[in-house]
Amino acid sequence: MSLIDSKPKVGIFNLSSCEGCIVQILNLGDKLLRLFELIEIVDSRVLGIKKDYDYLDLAIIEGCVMSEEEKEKLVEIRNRSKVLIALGDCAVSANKNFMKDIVNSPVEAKSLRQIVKVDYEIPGCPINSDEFYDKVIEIVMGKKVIDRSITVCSECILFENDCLLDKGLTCLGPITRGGCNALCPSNGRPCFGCRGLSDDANIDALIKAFEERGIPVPLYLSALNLIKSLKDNERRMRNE
Amino acid sequence: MSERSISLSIKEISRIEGHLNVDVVVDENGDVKAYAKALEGTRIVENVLVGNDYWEAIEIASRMCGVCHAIHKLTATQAMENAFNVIVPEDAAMFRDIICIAGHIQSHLTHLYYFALPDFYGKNNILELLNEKKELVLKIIKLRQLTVDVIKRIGGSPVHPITPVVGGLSKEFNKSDVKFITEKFREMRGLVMEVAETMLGLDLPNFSRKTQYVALRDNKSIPLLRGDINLLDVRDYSSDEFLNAIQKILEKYSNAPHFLLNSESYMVGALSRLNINYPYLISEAKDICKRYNIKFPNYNPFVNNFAQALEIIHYTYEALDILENLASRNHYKHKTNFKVKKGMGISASEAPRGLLIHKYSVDENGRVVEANIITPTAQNLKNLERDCVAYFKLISNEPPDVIEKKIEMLVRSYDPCISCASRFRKL
Ligand code: SF4
Ligand code: SF4
Ligand code: SF4
Repeated sequence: MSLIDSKPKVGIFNLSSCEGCIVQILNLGDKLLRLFELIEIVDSRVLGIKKDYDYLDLAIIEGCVMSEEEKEKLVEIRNRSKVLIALGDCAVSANKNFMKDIVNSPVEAKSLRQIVKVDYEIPGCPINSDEFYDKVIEIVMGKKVIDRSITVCSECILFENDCLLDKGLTCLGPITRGGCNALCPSNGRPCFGCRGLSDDANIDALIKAFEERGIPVPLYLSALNLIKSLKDNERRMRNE
Repeated sequence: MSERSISLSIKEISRIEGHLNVDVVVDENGDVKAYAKALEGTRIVENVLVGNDYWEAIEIASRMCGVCHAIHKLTATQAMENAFNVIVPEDAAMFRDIICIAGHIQSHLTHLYYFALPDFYGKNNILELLNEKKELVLKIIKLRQLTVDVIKRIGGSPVHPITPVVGGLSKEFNKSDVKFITEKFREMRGLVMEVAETMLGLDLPNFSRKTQYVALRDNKSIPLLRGDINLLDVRDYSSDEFLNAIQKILEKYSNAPHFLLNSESYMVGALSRLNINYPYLISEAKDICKRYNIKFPNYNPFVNNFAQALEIIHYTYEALDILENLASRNHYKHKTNFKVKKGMGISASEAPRGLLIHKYSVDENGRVVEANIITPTAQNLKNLERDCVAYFKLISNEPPDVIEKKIEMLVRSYDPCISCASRFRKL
């Protein structure tokens, strides 16, 4: 999609979410004004914009699906949109990457992909504002959007942080998709895996690393193996 | 005749946090009723917190709201600290106060200028205002950005800050951090007066209905993270006493619970804070009140907008005081060690939208066995309904579209945050 000739029409929506990822869009500040020179927001409840439109060039959706109405809303938006972005971990994984309520979740939450086709994902809980900005520009300009598949760990090493595993902490950095500049380890906290599994995540190796250091292995780690195999499957299907 | 005529039904009120419908109904006898219907799906419930490690529960609790995330994180952390009897080092507490203040100001800016201000200029949103009031809008954006810079520097992430942990902060800070933050707040000080005055100079609808006002009080400041819970002109409560005094009502039409105190609705938020703590408002802000003839206690809910604008000034100055104190110290103790133990902890704080209470019980391994979170918006819903009724009666002779706009403005002046409010209804 190259949309430079006319300003692409963009809608920003939220389903069940905390709106933190939309706040991260507001947090772009000046950069947001630059973005508004390139795109036209035609629908956003949070911004109070509701223009008439037949279709959207780009739908940006935050949040997961928790009710029949939200499902209908999502399908309706998908039908009217050329490109759809899942914004933040709620939209990407129904916040399961972050919440880890993988096994016995008392609530039934669905990610966007479980209901409609998703063209791009912006991971994280919350998203990284700059990554959002770059990706939207790339999409709008018709450039190839490159998903970083490096891990949080590889970024952490670049920053020369002391490794938290050596301090006995449960860091998921080795199996988590990078792109956040190893935000948590750089602030003295173990990675919680909010950006989801990296493509080549080796969960068993991490479990072993925990065991070797006497770090209690969190229960959800083996459940993550399940998520990984689902993800691998999905990717294979997409590439076929 | 039992048929009801719905006089007014406002769907998905725009420029607020989350999804809220408001119906105002007049029945055949002329009785007016209002219904605040919070619609958000119950994404996170207390049940999700139960079973998690205390520190995971804090992270999850923070995800209730992307606007008042900082205060949720800090309040949950304080509640856990109370459960484990942890005393946070003074330095760390001051850094946390700064995060809290920056989050508070940021939330107010978002509400007042991104959400509420367009109303007063007859605009639908801030982008429309950009053409006409470019300089002002750019200043607002700048101001908001400065708060983002502050939280990013000491919180790690501008949304859902990372550094506050049980015992203090996960990261050690130094003098250069304090210098950086001080510069940001000085820059803010140069902007807040003018930006706040654009709000304070506006004409608010003339409407007043006295209700019960509740906020934290410590008789020396306008506290955000510490203090007793005060009911204006009546009494102080400890958090425990207050939890026993309020009554939770599950209305069929709302995903968020409603609350009463002494069988009556009550209001929390900036207006209540100033109604109770006006003597401690900094003199710079008091002077402005005199200039614009704004008096507290004040019973006009629209004045909540003014109270928020005054708080932006107040807390900018307060942050500079805290930073001065930090600058006079040589190094900062960021954390204290503690032992996880079985226990119960409550913390009451002032979120931008008002009184917020987190209560947790944890077992001997630090796992949450019970969680209870009372959000400001949920506490305000009943009072909001009653104000809608009273205000509707006052303006019922005006054309329907004007009534709708005005009721919407009233709702918005409460700065409701439905994302928070609906999260914690038990399934
Ligand atoms: S991904 Fe996280 S920050 Fe974003 S909306 Fe969901 S809970 Fe909020
Ligand atoms: S702290 Fe975590 S992310 Fe950083 S190197 Fe160690 S395991 Fe990797
Ligand atoms: S370090 Fe891990 S938990 Fe933290 S932001 Fe990055 S991916 Fe998310």
